[in-house]
Amino acid sequence: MNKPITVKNDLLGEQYSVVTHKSGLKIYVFPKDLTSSYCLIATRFGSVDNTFKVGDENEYVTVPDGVAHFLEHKLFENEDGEDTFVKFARTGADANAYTSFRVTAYLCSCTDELYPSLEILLRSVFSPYFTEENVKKEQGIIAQEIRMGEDNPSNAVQYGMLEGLYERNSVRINIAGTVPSIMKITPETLYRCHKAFYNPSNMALCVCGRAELDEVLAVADRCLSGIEPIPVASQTVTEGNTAFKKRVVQRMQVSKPIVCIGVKDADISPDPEERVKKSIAFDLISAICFEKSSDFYASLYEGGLISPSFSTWYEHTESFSFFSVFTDTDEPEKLFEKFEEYSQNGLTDAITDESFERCRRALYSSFIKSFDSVDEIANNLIVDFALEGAELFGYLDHVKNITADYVKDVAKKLFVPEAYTMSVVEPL
Amino acid sequence: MLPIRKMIGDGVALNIIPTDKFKTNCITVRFLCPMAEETAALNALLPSVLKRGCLRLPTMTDIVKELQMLYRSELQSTVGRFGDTQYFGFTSYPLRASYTEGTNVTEQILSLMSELMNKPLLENGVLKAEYVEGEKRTLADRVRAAINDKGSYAIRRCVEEMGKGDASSIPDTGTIEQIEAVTPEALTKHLSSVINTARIEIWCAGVFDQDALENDCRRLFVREGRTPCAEAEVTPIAPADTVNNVTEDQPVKQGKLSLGFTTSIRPTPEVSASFNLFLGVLSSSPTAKLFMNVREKLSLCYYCYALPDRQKGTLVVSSGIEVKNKDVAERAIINEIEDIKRGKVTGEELESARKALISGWRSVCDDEMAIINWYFSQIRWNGFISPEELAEKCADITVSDIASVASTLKLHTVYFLNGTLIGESEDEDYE
Repeated sequence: MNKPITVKNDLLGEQYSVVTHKSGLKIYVFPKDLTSSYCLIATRFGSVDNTFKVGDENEYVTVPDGVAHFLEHKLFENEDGEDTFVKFARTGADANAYTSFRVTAYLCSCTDELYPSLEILLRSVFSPYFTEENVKKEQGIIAQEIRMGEDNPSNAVQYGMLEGLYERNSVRINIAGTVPSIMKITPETLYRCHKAFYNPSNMALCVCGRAELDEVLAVADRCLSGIEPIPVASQTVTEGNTAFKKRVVQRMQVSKPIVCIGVKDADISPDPEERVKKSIAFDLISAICFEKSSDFYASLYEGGLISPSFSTWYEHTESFSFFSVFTDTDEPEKLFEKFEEYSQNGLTDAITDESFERCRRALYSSFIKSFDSVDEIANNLIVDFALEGAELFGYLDHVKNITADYVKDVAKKLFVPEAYTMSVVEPL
Repeated sequence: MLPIRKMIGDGVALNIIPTDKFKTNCITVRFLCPMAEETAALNALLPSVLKRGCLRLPTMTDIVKELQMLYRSELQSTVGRFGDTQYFGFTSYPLRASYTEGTNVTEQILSLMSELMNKPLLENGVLKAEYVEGEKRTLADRVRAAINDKGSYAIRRCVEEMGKGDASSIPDTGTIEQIEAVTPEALTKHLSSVINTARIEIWCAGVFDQDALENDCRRLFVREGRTPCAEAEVTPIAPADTVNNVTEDQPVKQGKLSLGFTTSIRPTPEVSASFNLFLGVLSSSPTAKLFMNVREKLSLCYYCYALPDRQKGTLVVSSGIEVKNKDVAERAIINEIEDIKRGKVTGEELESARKALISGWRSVCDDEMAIINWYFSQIRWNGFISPEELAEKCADITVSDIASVASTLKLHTVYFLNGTLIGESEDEDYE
């Protein structure tokens, strides 16, 4: 174990400690004097990691779609037959878990008994227990979760957009998989994925609240002995920035068409801090060029072409990057024309010194506000920064140093018509 | 951390909750009126029309730009209900002065909220027609789009069925017909009426110079000669003589089941703790019966939870299931409630719900809006009770107290949204 490092930020008046545990787990302790404390442990295993090899294997193996999410559901079951939720109930902790494209995260929050709760969390995550019977039971539950998602038009239109942008990158696949794909999952599949991705060296833990580093380390020592680091490699698929399909159309019971226009971005830096900087540029492009203070929004809204549901959704990560806008509209094709025209003429002109400064202030304010919540701190620190290889407080420096010219440059390279797709959910 | 509540004008209450735990303050101003068919759509439209522009900042873009310069203390407009009262208002989270180079953003945001209400953009003496028509269209679209979210649609339909002829069946938004009938003249008249008659609740959590805040609020929100309306009395939903079964077909894959119950429990400080502990055992604790049995043991659903309306005395249990499992799921949910009635609650179930409830209540203090909502729900009580005090009341509650709460539940309506998209090829794999 190396020596703990303390990272401080004077403006925020906040600091945290970070240390790599001997198991390889990166541990962050962020003191915060609120009533509840929050623990979050996450692994770099998301829905996109469906083809990988472990240790010294030669061949990549592909697992069924939705396996990361399935595994997330199963880790709160234990060999002693007692559900992890029952164990948490004794400490009064509230626990949950989620799976995204890139990570799986497990969390609990509590007002008392922080270290016993942390111990339950770590033991659950590192003690897999899968049987034919408990996998079958979960297939029924997850099938209902998938059905719920399939009946949700906003989900459908967003996944449709990703299917339009990507041909092979697995970000185009529903995080939970499909009912047929999860039926192929077996205990062996789950054990293999657990062995590969739930090695502490592939994970990070944050405890935020009334926590002491020494106590957290003592819990980690008890729960993480005898686990050797093991390398895992996910197959990455690189695609150019040309959208796979121009249109993806589905029909569902909706009151009017819902659309999501996506823009594919292939320009991804291997440097995590560069990626943070570019994510900030996406934030600013969204705020300056598309959100409510923009002339574009006002003209479309006043013209009745978009509704207040109009919003942007974008992600800039190591394995994929896209920018999209979402709304319901009576005239999808007219909206697409307006978007295309604006993106080629006018969008970068909207980025002036004045609009840049206004929106930068707003971004600064949202970031500061995020430090009012143990939950936001832990999630940002681990999922958005640590597992991506970046440092949390460095964000403020990026916000301070970023220039309007850089944002314009990102926008110019991003908005090229061959990168566009439009996904539409039409009424039946 | 109890609120300091003070009537600063006729029907105008200022509530200050001092806390220095946050980097932002939280302020919300709510205008309360009785829920009525004639005014539901007007109340729902007002905040969005007012946010389109005021005298000084005539466009939405102007308003948002000003907010961004105030460090985007975004101004959320809310429309909500509380028993048979409807309210609308504005909420914002201004950064504290230590992060804004000393600028008092809080005062400027309060001032903007008042400006939107009191200095609106008028054309020929009425609210600008273009904005009114635009927001009518948007709101009507939103009402039509309610069908897109099947889960909440099925809950709302159940509530509507339970409250036929009662204020609870009036949608927060008004109906499409009521929205379409609104004219700029009617909305302008309604705005004057709200300014004169609504009960105004101003809630501020954070760090303030309290005297200055009070002076600001008097200046910004208190008018001479107001005639505030009386508080709307709440009429609870009465139990049904026979269960009302309603099924609607929709082309979706999953069925949505809503079981609507009535309860004779009324929201008083005395029963609040036992009612919430009952809810914990049934639905909201980590070892809740609906989760552990209906989901985990019977594998019937992904979600199954109970949603109470404490003011109206109702409880809707909602779930998404395979269509063919409707009867099994209905019986399973009712069985869980029957078990509680018979006192079949283990010590572990009770203690886990108690711990979860106490922990949840104590952590209310970690979120400014949660603190405000906690106390706002108590404005009809004679004084406030903090989360810590209510948590103490939980200590002595027994299984028989919980069973008495369960015994008050009577099944009123079974609403089923029947998914008709079954039999697709993938279902064969699933069988």
